[in-house]
Amino acid sequence: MKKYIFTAGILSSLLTLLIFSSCSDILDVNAYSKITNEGIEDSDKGADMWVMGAYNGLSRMYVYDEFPRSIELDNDYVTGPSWAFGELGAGNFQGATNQSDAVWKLSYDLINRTNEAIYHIEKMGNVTEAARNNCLGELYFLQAYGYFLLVRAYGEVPIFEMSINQGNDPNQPRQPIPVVYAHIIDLLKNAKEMIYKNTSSSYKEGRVSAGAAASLLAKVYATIASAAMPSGTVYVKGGVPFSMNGSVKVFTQPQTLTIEKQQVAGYETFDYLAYYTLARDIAKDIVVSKLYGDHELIPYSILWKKAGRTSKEHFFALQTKSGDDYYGALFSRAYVGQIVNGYVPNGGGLSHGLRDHWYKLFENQDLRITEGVMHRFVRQSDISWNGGGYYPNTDEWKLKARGLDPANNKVADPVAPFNDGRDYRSGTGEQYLAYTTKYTDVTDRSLTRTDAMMPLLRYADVVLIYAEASNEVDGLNNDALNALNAVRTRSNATPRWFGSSEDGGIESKEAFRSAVLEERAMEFALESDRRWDLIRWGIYLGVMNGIGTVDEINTIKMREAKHLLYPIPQDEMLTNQAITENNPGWK
Amino acid sequence: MSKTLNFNQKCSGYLERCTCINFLKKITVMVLVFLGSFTFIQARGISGTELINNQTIPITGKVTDVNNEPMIGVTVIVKNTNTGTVTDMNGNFSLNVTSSDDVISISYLGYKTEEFPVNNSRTFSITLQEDEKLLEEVVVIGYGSMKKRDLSGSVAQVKADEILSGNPAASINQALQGRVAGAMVNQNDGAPGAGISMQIRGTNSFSSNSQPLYIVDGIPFEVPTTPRSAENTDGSLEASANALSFINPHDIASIEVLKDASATAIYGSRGANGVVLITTKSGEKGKPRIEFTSNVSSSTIRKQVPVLDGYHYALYRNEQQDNALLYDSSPFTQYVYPSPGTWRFDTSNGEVLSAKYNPSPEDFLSPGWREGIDENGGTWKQWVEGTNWQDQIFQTGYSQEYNMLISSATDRGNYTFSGNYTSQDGIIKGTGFERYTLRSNTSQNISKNITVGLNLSYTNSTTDFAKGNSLDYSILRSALLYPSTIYYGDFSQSDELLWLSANPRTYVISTKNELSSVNIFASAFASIRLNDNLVFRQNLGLSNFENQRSTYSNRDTGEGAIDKVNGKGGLSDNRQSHTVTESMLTYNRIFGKIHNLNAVAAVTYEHRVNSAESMTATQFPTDLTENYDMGLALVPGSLVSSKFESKLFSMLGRVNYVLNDKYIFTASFRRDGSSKFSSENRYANFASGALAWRLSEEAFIKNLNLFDNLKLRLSYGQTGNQAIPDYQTMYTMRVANYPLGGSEHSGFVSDHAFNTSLKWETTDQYNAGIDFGFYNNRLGFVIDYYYKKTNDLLQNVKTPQSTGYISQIINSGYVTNEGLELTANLVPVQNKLFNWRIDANLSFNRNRIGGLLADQFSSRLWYKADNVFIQRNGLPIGAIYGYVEDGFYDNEAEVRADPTYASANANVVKSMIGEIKYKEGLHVIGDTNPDYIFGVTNNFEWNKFNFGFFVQGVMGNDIFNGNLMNVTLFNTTNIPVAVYDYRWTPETKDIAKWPKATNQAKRTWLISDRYVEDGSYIRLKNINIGYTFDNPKFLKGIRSINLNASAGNLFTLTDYSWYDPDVNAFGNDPARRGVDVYSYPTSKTFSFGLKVQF
Repeated sequence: MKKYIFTAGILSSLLTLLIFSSCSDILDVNAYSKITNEGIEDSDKGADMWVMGAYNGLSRMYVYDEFPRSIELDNDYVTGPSWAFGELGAGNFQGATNQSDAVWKLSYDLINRTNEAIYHIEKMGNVTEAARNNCLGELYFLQAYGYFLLVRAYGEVPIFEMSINQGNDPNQPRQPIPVVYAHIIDLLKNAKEMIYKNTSSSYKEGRVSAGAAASLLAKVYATIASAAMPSGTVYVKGGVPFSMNGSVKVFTQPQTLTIEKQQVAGYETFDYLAYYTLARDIAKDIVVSKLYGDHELIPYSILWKKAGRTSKEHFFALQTKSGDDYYGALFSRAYVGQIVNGYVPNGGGLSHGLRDHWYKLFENQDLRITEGVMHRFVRQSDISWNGGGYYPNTDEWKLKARGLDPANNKVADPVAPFNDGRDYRSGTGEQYLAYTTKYTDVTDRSLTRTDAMMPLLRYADVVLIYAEASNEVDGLNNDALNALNAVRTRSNATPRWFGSSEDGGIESKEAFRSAVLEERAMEFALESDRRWDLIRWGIYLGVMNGIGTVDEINTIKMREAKHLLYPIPQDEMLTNQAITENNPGWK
Repeated sequence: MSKTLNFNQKCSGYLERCTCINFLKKITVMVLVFLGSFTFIQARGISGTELINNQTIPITGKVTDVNNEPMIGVTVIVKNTNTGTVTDMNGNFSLNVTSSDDVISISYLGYKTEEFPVNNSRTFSITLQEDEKLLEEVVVIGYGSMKKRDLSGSVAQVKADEILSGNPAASINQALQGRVAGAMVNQNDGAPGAGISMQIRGTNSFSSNSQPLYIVDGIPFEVPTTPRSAENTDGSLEASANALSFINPHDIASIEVLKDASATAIYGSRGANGVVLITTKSGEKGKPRIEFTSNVSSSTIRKQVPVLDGYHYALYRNEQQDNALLYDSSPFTQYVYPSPGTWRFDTSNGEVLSAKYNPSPEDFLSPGWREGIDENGGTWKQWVEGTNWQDQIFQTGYSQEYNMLISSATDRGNYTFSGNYTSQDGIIKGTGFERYTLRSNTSQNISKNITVGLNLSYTNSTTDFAKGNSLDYSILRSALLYPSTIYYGDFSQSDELLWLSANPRTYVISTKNELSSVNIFASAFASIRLNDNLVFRQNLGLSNFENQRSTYSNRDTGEGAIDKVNGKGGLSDNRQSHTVTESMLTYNRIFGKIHNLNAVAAVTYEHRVNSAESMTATQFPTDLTENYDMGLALVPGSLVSSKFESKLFSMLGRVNYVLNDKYIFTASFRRDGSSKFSSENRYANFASGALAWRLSEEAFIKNLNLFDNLKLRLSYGQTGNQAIPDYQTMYTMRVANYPLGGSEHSGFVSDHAFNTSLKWETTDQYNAGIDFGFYNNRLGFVIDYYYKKTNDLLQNVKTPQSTGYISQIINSGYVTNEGLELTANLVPVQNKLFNWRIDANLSFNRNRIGGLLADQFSSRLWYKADNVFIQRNGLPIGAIYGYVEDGFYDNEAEVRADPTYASANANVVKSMIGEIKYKEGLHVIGDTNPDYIFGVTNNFEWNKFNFGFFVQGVMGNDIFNGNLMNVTLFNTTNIPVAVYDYRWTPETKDIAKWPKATNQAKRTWLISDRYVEDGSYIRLKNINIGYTFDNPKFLKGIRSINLNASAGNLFTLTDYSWYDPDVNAFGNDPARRGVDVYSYPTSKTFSFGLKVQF
């Protein structure tokens, strides 16, 4: 018996001894499929990976269609069926699916990614100086882009100097608008000097260049300036969209509305002229002096083609990958439709378009409608009757598409592309809008997710900012006019000129600013820009309510003061202890 | 940070080349080899001594019970030797003893053991007395077993045979529903093989797992999560499988539920949610026991949710249009269902290409062909008939089960072999569960002092899920929402309604969502009796799980729509390997007759490795090969794989001391280390203590002659919870690439808001209990009161979205649970002919949150259902938060009276008529915790008949009926009849419960008390009747045949409006209990069973 006890004693002490002496960290585990922050190498390549992770925040914005929906649907010229526009597009910002929340959530996601990346890159010791500057500059730019979206949408917003993973308090209060702008301007001032110009051999297409940072800064200055301007007049084309002739809708011509601008709340302390001067100067450095790289207005023929996707015009754009579940673009389906076997299948999109009034802003020969608008489209529902749709619903196009004169007599054969034996129809319903062609040049249009590119900032924008700022600071002048006309003539539009308004000329500073604003609406249609122009100019309510209650296809355009700012998401209100009140009018 | 990564750190000294991971495995093997050789020597020694004894005295005898019936299989052994036998069919035995001084010992389970000296007798006639003292029953407790009378903690024991007889259940936890006071068992839904959640004494925590720890034959049984179907990329809900379905319920001998901390503290870091000990059958001495059981059953839907038929649906759609014109200023064009019906002809160049009949509502009252003549005189025909889609997806499911068990034991050891085949068809077409299990439990006494054994089980199961528990595409959603005006044979409109759902019939026929699982669970032990008091035992448990979920949605479904997706396939696998080693010393001794000491000390180590991978693909050239060849797909989806590991190292000890058979003291201690925490917070200690006083042994109680048993129990202990995901204390990254010019560039982003200071969640539990037994224990009560406080809650707290993170796991706040449990058993009638036994239990639990810095919310239920469950100090876990409704705006004046609309546009005001009025602000609108739960079992035996029924109930809980969130009254979806009858119209405004119908999607639905329903129910869970033939004359060689018939879920009393109140879509998530969202309905079953013993 003693033998057993002895043996057991030896056994247990052996066990104990081995367990406790040999392996002090018996509980350490392998992270296997998890990458830890230390796994990212301290090198130019490692720094780049952090930056790519931040850029990925842009992919996240667009992956589930939350963008551009959340920043595009609420303006005067866009429209679509009620299932798509019944919420945010109808002014219901706190609707069932909280479509506006994406701006908050995903902008802050982007900001947090940049903060994490900045923190880690700053700790790295083996990164070459140029690469390090470029990486940090890009991160500053992306962060500024996020805050710029936020401050325009929500007004006062929290600022995160660092991520909560670096010990920051998760409950951050809202900061006054000037404080937010000071942060944005600070970031961009650094970024424009740190990021590679697109002329540098180290610059890579698809990433932002110094020109983008400088241009965003110009746009920020112009935004502050126009919002801070205490009063002024803006002319906008719009008004009541249709009249009823019995049960037939008759579309109207856009009327010129004269709108007295409001100063945007929170911008009172800015000297608007000083900011327009800043905007003009930096825009001039980019456009005239070419201090920030090689940028130009590229020909319209390649502007929306894959060949045109370079930093010359598109210096900041969402990069996508054809067919990819995550990196493939979903927005293109709503805007230009998926095309399978020559038609748009049910559920295949082609739903979001521009209103008839927008189409009527253009001259007939303007490439932005001759090429830029889809005149022929076939949907699956047209297949059974061998039909198709055409736009616009005018006598001119009726003749082209159907060979019919205004009295519906057959006078000719349909012309290409309508001469394929299909029976083309048009109408006043939600199936017949001005659909853009901007996003059609993709690798495979039959896919749900394409490699369409979403422009986030392009050279034409800073050219028009230059025109706008120059006019505000110096009054009517040729530099401004030339800038405006550079954008117009690129698309085959007639140049504007100074002269009496009765002859069609521009006779005042107000008329010029309105012309620039209108040009922006035409040029940047469905590039998520229009709402923010209306807001920064303080004319949003005037323009929207000028339409009346609804547009041609019953999308509600009526708005109230509460619509000037988005509601802060309920989630934030419930979780952030430092924010107690939502924007006016929102729960 | 780097410290947590040095898994490959070399051990010092002579073991230099081994990694720490391999190290303990080696130790265990060493120990086993050592014991093996030791044993061998011992065994040889014993056989040597036996040879010397050649002198024998034959004796014979007969054993009968008090009724003079012969007793079969009674063990007769010669005391202190290895010689023994069992009685035969007639109760006779014969045996050789070596000397007249020998003593024979006669024992039989449930009877008092008798001993007789041989002396000069050569024949014996023995009558065994039943052991009246039920208290002598042995219960299994952690790391040992104990006489029930010596228990100081709160432990409930359930004999598997008792709850399974006449109550076929595919898993043991399912059968436990309503059987144990303090244990709340919920099915996730009614699908065959569906998940079951069990909560013991309330919810301790809101984000970590609140399931009890399951221990099978001493080894923790942890099941990996069901792999998600690969197409489920957004992490939404889906059907999961029941962990314990891997164990054949017929293999189970008993289940012990450890409830108070005195019992659970020995499981330290994982004991906080209670512990369920499952002991599988081992052979019993006697003739080999051969048992065959079989069961066939049919199940049908318990209740349909009536939705509008074709006629009413058409009327409803037309009313939507009328109201849109009347209230929403929407121009009127044409009725969806014009009266009379109209033909639409599509012509091109004078030729009619196609025709379509728009039926009138009345057309659905008389289904049949409708004829139309086009402008060219051509005749067209179309069949018009409405469809009840629920009829199309539901079926009568047939199930069968076969089970074979062979077991026996001798002095040298015992064995059990069993096999089980179960096949269940669900009540939704295409769903079902199929399982094969094999088990072998063997142990061998290779010497007087050494026993080795191995329990091995293999399970292989296949579950066919219906897509349910989901607010997007799912079969039930489709069956409830799909327009009833579409003829089920007509597929022409399927495509147009794809946004809504696939045709339900197509769905059940064409989608595949299959889970196949394999589990191998082995536990081996060697125990060595070091001396009369001391036993050393080494356990080694190895288990492996393999799961594969295989999904395919073909071209007819929404997910795999033709032209757009062209078939979507997915394959996802996961696996878990789990290694447990335990070295344990047990000391047992009685000193001076009054001191009874039992002590145990052990060291345990566990290592778990999980890995998973999944793939998806779309654009298949054909649906024929489904997802069997993923390579055929033109567009591969993302590839996902992962691997995790975690470790747990513990030391533990327990002392149980009984003084004078009256005073019982228990103390236990465990020190646990877990790899889930950072090195500073890895270890924690858990201790417990308990006192019990057996008053019934005191003279002053004995003299009352009232109590057969009276025991007071008091206990306190600490337990922990570490059930958080792995690596939460590490700064981990996930891939976040970015495509530049169409090609992806590597990128990373921080994957969560991490927390290095995480530590254990600790529960302090106090328990006071009293056990009574009266009238020869024919009436018994067990009453327990407990109070638990769980501190440092590990919780996944929602962070403000502005942080860029969704949530962070932190230790904060506390939860208290306070409750009362009553268990009663009563034998009202007990005689030779008739027996009646009642077992009842009732439990109350009160749960409260405290110590939170601010209100918190559980994760979203699904898209559009955020912040449904609030976590606020003073409220229970499971409080529902939302708006309170205040009737409807019946007219313009009422709308204007609301300040929101006082100055609104006239059109807006008009459109608000018939809409819901919400009261200002958010309120607590429900609580999913029941006030009490209960179960009552009645069993009757009369002659050879047995009859029993079991009633179970849950009272006072709310259910969040998420199904209603798709009842929006503004689109093409069908609605329940109950909604239609109470929709708002000027005529029904006084009784209206739902707003007006309209086709304008302007209405905003808020989370309100509308979705909160009373989930109380009382259910006749099972009723059964059986008859037993003992030693039937008509079949030789059969010991007994039992025939039984039973019905399940025959009758339910509830106000809940949907399929079934026993629903819990979020399974194990304690923060989101009591949610119903297109959950698989519970069925009503009828079964017939057979049990033959040879």
